[in-house]
Formats: sequence, C-alpha cells, structure tokens
Amino acid sequence: MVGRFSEGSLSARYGRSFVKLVLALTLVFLAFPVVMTFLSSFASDWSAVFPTGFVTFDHWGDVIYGTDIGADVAVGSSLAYSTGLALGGVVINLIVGVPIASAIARYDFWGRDWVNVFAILPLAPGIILGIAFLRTYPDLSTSGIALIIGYSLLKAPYMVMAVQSSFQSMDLQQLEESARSLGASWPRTFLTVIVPNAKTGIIAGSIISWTLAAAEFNFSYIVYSRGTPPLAIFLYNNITNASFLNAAAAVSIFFLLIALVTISLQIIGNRGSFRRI
Amino acid sequence: MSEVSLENITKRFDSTVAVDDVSIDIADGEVMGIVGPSGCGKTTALRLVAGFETATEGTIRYAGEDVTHVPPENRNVGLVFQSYALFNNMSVLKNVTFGPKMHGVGKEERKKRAYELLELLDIEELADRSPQTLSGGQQQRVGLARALAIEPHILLLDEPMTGLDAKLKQTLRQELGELLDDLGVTTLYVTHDQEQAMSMCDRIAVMNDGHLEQIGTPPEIYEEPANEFVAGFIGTANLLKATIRGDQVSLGFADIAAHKRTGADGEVTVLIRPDDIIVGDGPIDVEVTNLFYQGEHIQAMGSLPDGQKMKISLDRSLTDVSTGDTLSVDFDPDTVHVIESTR
Repeated sequence: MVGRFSEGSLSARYGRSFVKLVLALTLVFLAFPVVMTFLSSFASDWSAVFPTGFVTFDHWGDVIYGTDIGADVAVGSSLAYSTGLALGGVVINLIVGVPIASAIARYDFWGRDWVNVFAILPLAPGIILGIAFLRTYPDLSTSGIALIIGYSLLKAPYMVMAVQSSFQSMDLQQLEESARSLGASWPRTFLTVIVPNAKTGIIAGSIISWTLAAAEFNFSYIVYSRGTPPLAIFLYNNITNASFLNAAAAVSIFFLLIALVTISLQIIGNRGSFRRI
Repeated sequence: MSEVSLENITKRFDSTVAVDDVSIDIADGEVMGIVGPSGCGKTTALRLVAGFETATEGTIRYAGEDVTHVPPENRNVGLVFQSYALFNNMSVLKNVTFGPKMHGVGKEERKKRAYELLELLDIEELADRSPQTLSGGQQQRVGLARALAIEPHILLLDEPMTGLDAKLKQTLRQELGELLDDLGVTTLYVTHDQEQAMSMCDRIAVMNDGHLEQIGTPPEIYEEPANEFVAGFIGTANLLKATIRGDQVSLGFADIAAHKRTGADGEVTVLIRPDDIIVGDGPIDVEVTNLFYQGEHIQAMGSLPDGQKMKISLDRSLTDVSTGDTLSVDFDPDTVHVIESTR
C-alpha cells in the first residue's frame, strides 16, 4: 500500500515538472521574437543571426523625432495615427457595444438571437470586411473615418463578448429594478449602476479591442489609400528595407504603449474597489 | 382607507394567467404576507405593486391614488430582493444614500438618515465597506436600510431570507419582525415559507395557481382554512375524507364530533392538526408506521383502520412508543375543522 502511494506521488512530481518544462519552453519560443525585436531596436545592425552594435538609441530617436528613417513619413506619426484610430474604434464600441451587450444579457426580446449573431459576426476576416466596406462606402475609403468605423466593427465582438460575460455574471434584472424602485430613471440606472458593475468586462473589452485594432493589418491594407499610413501598413512597407530597426523601435514603442494602457486601465479598474476583509 | 390596495388585479402573460382577479387591501402599517408554492403568482403580485409589471385588468392604489400605470421610479417603494441586489460599485453608505439622492434629498440630510438607519440595524461600522465583502445577514440589513432610506409608501420584501442558513434565518426573522413593528412601515412580504409568514405577518394572503385562496390573520388561516389547499399548505395537516350530518362526522370506521361548522350535510374533508390529537384513551386506533424525532416533539406517522394516513405530534416524554404499536387517539370537537367543499 505504501509503495503504491509513493509511486503515485513520484509520478505526480515528475509529471508536474515535465508540464512546467514544456510550458516554459513554449513561452520562451513564443516570446523570443518579441524580445529580439525589442533588443534589436537598440542595435545598430541586424544582418547576422543576432543583432550587433549595442547600445544605440538612434532608432528610438528616429521614431520619436521622425528623423532619417528612410520612409515617406515618420514611424512615430504612423504609431500615433494608429493609436488614435484604434481609440476611436474603442469609443464607438463602448457607445454601441455596451448597450447591445446589456440588452442581450438582460432582455428576452424578439430577434435577440439574431442581434447576438450580428454583434459577433464581424469576426469575419478583416480582408473580407475591408472589401465589403470599400464596395459599400467607396467615398469613405480616403479618410481615417473609414478605418475608425472598420476597426470598431471588426473588434466589436471582443467588446460585446467581454461585457456580456460581465453582465451575465450578475443579476441584472434585480440590480436594475432595485435602482429604479429607489427613484432612478432608466438612463441613470444604466449609467450609475449597471455600467459600473460591468467595469471589469468593459476594461477587458477595451484593452482587447484597442490593442487588436491598433495592430490591424488586413482591413487597413484594403481600405487605406493615402496619407499617413496606419502602423501595420508602415511596418509592412518598410519591413524589408533599411528602416527595419526603426520599425523594431516603433514596434517596441507599441509594446510599451500597450503595456502602459493595460496597466492604466487596470489601475482605473481597481480604483473605487473597496477594502476586502 | 387602505394604504395599498390591489383591486381585482389580473395579469396575463400571453395565454398564461399569472394573477387571476386578486384583491388585497393592506392597511397603513400592516405587514401583509403573500404565501404560496412556486409559480402561484405571488412574485408577480409584488412586481405589480412595485410597478415592474402592469396589470392586464384591475387597479392598484396607494392611499387611494391610482398608480396602476405609474412607473416604478415614481412609486416610492422600498424593495428587498432574495439576492439583495446591492450595488457593488458603491460602499454600504452610498448604497443607502442612493435612494434619497434620487429623491433630491440634500447631501447632509441623506447621510444623516443613512447613519440613523445603519445604527438602527446595528451595522454602522460597515458604512465604508463594499457590499461584496459582507456576509448574507449583513447584506440583508444593508438591503433593508437602503429600501427604508427613501421612507417608502410600502416596503416590498421578496423572499429576503431564502439564501440564509436556518439559524441565521431564525434570528433575522425575529429581528425583522420587531423592526417592522417598531417602524410601523406598511409591508408586503412574499415568501414560500409559511412558517416565516406566520411569525412575521399581521395577515397572510394564500395564493395558488394565480388565485387568492384565503386572506386572514395567521390564526385564522391556520385554524380555519378556507379549503383543502390552504389547510395543506399552511402547517401540517391530516385531511380525512368523511360524511357529515349535523355536527356528527362519520369517518367510516368511527364517528367524531365537530362543533364549528355552518355548511350542509354530505361529503366533506375533515382537517385535524397533528398537535391537536389527544393520545391516550380514545375511540380510534392508529397503527404507528414510522417515527421521526424532531427535537421539540416526535412526529408519528400512522395508519387509520381504513388505511388513511395520519400524522400525530407526540410529546418527547412518550419514548416507549415504537413502530408497530397501536395508539388510541381522540379529537377535541373544537379542533376538528370541516372543509365543506373543494375547488
């Protein structure tokens, strides 16, 4: 009996170590290109297997100040442009997606299943949506508005699903009815009780849809025609020429920006949380 | 004039009749209970009073004023749900001041009112805590404070103790009962737990399948149920098929007397409560088929000579009774309740 127990225990110990090792190797494999990209942004050359000529801040300087990058526009401009467009998409998703998610979670109305399907439908590839968008609204393709609307459409499912999940985890009907019985109008109930209670989902949905929109390539490639290119287009256009290390610096700045936005939103999310005992 | 009245209220959802021609008058300061099994329409009745449902037919009045079509935010009702539905994005204090704020009460006044209520409910030290850090009992008190803070026309309690453990439920039942008595607030208490309703409410409305079966004080409902459903739903009941002539009830195998009756002779159902049965020297033999020790008494399940089942409440001192024994029982004619007709 003792033997059987110790056998099981050893087996469990080796099994866990093996799983840990596989996880660690997978993580290193996945993270390695990201780390290399970040490191190479501080190197003066990356023509061999590993980047060489550390440490230089020239590429970061080029990106930030927009000097001598061998491209038509500054990478920094592209980055700022994409950040703004993605933010616009998130704002639209917040205004449209949160009420839709709330309605789907709260009310049993005619066509609810179809609304749910349409809210998630834009998970179709960006390239398809881009072509459809151009065919439907050909005049919009020259402006950033097209990209904002497209990003919002493409990333709406992430917002709707994250927020819907938050709504479904609470008793929406009783929350709403409690607030209304206390004298709050429906809009006030929605804004001061329902939305704040779904804060976690709203923040998660915003982070996901913003980061994915800021780096969206397929839709941008189809719809973008002139002017400052979105970051993904800029990187594609300059990835094979000399400005690759500038692109690496731009991508690194993008990483940092995502980290900054995520941490900030999490801090905002935690603000107003109460002491837990 | 009743503080709150439901006048011939019917509520239909498509082809389903959830509430069928129900009339209830709740007096100022009265605690009215609505009890009934799941799906009997009691929660729909509460939602109609709150304004979350609109009656298909009938009128709801607050102090004589027709509020049937008034939206819930303008009805001034305090609502406490089973889940309490506290706002986790706000502290306990903000939960309690939310209602007065919506009613335009000034900041200082609503804070003062909130602290008074928190103190009354003995939870003032929780003012800055998040509702999600509180125990079920504490959350219930916060829910109650929040509902009372708007000084409501009527306090609506929808199964507010369902999720609590038995001991806490007992304590809170007593506390809530005393609080409602002290405050004198008109209350509608909806529960499927008839024991809670009996101990806390001034009057009880028993509902079944959308109908109002009976309305009365707890003793009236318990001792003089209007029909078999009420007799069976409220308390533990022995319902025996019998024939009556005058005040003589024939059970087939024995005759017993029933003093309190007004109806015609014929087939009836006789209600005898287990704790009204006199065990000792009596004309009826009951064979004990099972015994359940319940602490305060022993519940004996027995079989009458014609095979009908009978529950008898035995004193704890009768420890020598065992399964298979025959008990001789008798009934006080005043405790034999004859139910004249069944619906």
